[in-house]
Amino acid sequence: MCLLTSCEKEIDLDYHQVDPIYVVEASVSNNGTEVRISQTNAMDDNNGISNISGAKVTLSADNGQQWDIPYSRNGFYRSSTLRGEAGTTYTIEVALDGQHYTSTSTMQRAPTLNKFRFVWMKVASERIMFGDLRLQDIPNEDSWYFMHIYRNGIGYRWAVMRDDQNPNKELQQLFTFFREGSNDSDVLQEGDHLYIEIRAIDQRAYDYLYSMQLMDNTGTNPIPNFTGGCLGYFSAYHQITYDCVFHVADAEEDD
Amino acid sequence: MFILSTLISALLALPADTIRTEQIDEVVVTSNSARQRVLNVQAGAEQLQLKELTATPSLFGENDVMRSLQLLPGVKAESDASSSFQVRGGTAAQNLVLFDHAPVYNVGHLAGLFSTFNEDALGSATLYKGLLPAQYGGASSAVLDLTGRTGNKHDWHGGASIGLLSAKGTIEGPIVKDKASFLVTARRSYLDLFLKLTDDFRHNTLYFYDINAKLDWTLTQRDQLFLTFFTGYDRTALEDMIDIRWNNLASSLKWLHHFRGDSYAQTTLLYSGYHTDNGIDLLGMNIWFDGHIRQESLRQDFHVALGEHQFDAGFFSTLMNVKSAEWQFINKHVKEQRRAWENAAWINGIFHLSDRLTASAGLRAGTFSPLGGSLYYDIEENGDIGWYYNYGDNQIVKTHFTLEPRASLNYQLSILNFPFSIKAAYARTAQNLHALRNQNTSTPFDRYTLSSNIVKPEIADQFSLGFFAMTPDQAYDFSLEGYYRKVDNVLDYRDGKSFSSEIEIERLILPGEGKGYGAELSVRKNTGRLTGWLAYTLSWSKTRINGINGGRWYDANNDRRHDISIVAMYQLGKRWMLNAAWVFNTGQAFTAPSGKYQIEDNWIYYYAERNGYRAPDYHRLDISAVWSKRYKRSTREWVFSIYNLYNHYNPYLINFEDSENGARTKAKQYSLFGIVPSIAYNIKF
Repeated sequence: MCLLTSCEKEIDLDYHQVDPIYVVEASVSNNGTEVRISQTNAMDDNNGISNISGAKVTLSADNGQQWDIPYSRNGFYRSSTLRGEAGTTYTIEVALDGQHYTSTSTMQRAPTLNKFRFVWMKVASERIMFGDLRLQDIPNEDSWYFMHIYRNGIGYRWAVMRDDQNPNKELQQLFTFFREGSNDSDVLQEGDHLYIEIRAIDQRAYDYLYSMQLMDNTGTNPIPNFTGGCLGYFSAYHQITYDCVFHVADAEEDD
Repeated sequence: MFILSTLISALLALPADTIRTEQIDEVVVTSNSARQRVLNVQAGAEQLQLKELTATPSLFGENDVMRSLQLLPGVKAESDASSSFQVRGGTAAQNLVLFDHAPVYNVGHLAGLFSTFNEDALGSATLYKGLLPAQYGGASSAVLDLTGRTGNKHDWHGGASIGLLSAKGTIEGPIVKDKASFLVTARRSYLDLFLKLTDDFRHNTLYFYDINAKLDWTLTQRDQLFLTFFTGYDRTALEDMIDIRWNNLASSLKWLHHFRGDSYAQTTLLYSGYHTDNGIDLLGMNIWFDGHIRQESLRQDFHVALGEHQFDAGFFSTLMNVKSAEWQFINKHVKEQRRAWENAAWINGIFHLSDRLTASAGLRAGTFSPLGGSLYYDIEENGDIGWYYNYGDNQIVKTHFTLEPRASLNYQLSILNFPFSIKAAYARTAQNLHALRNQNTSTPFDRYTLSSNIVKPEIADQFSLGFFAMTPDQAYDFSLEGYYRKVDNVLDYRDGKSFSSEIEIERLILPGEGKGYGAELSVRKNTGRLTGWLAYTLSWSKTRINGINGGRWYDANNDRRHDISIVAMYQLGKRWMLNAAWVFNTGQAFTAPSGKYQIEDNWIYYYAERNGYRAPDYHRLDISAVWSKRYKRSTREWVFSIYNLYNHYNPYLINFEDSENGARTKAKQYSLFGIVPSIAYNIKF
């Protein structure tokens, strides 16, 4: 009986067939430059990502420098030696099938991780595992952050945050991990390897990712980041990483 | 867990992860009598009869005017989790609900499971389906005009009712016999008392209450004073982590002066307030946000009867104060609050031009002036603020003028002794309080804003043509009405924006236009042991906004093609009344993805069109049986009801999910209620 609870069932939906749209995901970071070009799949397509080669990808900086980014493989265009510099505004241009897609982003300074912990919290009759991540805000400038947690190499949780909640001080991001006793594939297992990427990003990238974060509620595409009509976004960021292994015994209890 | 995670996600914006009749006892919406339906000049008006009958079957055994009126032709439920209603393609946010002239902005308790109106407090109700007489305004869709019941001036009466989730009590009587009376009725849910008996939920809070009070004082043979007070409060809290509260308050003081004949004047002072307060405190992360609508008004009505002709005129002046949101997020504190001054004057006449032809014509003129004291902006095409304007306190920022003509014609004839009428009507209405909703259901997270230097008044034009007939003995009546409705300056969220994206609400929205058209058919049986009606609505509702859906027309998210309601009430012997209601509607429009792609190692969906898909059909059967017995000094009643008898899981929410590599995408439907049996006991003296 569904009484004040949610009953769920799978329903058949006849998805509309639409022409594929190009997707460009581009970054310039302290680790190099990477552009991945793909296209949208139909809803009933189970073949994985559709990679696109043959594009001309050009990166330019606000100091006049310009680079071609060569095709690597699997839809990736890479240059490991082309690293971003904080304060520089970069423009990426992708020429593909006679169309031009362009976006800009400004490289940020390095973020600082203060702490990451696993915390059990009792919510009504259930215990829920949270990840509690704390950053030290980059002082004296507006900052935006992207945090991505991988579990055993596969994307697990992500979030974006801006520093206006506590500027120049410690910033906190909570991740809802799983409910104790749940059997679904989302539950962290003893010994799982967690790899966390923390990026300082610019406002345009934040606006894109924040609107992507709201997609479940809004039912709309993220705010366009590229001109020209493709999907995806470009971000010049400074990234740090953090590794840990999940042990249930390490989880703290919320007091 | 689903509701909890949805709530947490919403709050934290974490990823992934909706002529006054008094002295009537019980509420049932059976709409107006056959004769009224055929003869009334006002097209699209339903004077709802709140009869001494058992109501149509209801959720949790609670007779509920809002849920019952959703069964009328042209009226739709907003959702399973809402007491709000939608009329002729309009949204619930485009309706105005008045309680003794004071607006009530959130008509739901417990997330909409109960309406905020206790039936014991209601005297009469009239629903205007967008074709308003000139004395009504402020809604671009429907107006529901509720009048509170006055207490008995001669004797003391009272009653009590105990249901599965709530209990209520009513007391009324004379203060000064035959001169002054009072009525007080209060209701409270007691689900929280059960929670306290459990180890796991004892520290949680889940309750609502409402209190209605009305004083009626006959000063002289010609003068009467009425004082009405209504408040309702809801609170849901998960220990000290999540707290959601909202509160309605509506109060009015009315002086009614009768002239000779049927003419009168009414002077009313009004206060209306709606306030939401929502917070979350998890692991040291503290987020709080609230908002309010406050309104102080003076209304003057004159009604003059000259022979068969009637005239209404008056004016209305109100000060509005709307806080679209105030957020405290850790150390971040932002607020958007604005004030405005609204005025309206009207004149409306009903003319009996011949034995066959009656006409109603009116004009309402309004001004709406946003006031300084807070920031106003220019907004650029991408939603950024281009310029700030800081006007002084009470300085007029801009004045919007609206002229709203209203007209209705009723031509009566008789065919084979069957009274028959043709009604045609037109009305223009304007609305200056705008609600923004992400979902198709009203929630405490809705944001409200006023017309401003950027936001224009929402203007609706509606045309209607109807045919009405009844049998000579009024045992049966039939109606067929068609309508076309056009609305300018409707607002919707920009793509990628939600209520929490920016504090400045004008950065979140885009203006556009809407249209709706359709036909409503009803057949009613009014006499005999078996009474009831069949209502069928065929409708379309569309929106076009530059910047959304590529600027093309799209189905509104309340668009659904076919709605059917069948209501039957059967008197079985002296003691039992059996009731049944079956509702059916074809799938509601909703947005689903048409593709998927990968960003940051996450598969996300590509939305090619707004509201391009249809949810599964909705249907359910509700039944109730009421046993009642009149004793010497009291009447006692047992109400047994079953909501959703055949346990059909109806769509409430549809989500999509796929496996880690983006394959095997599934559409999942979430339902709110299966079968819900309930029992209630009522006593009246």
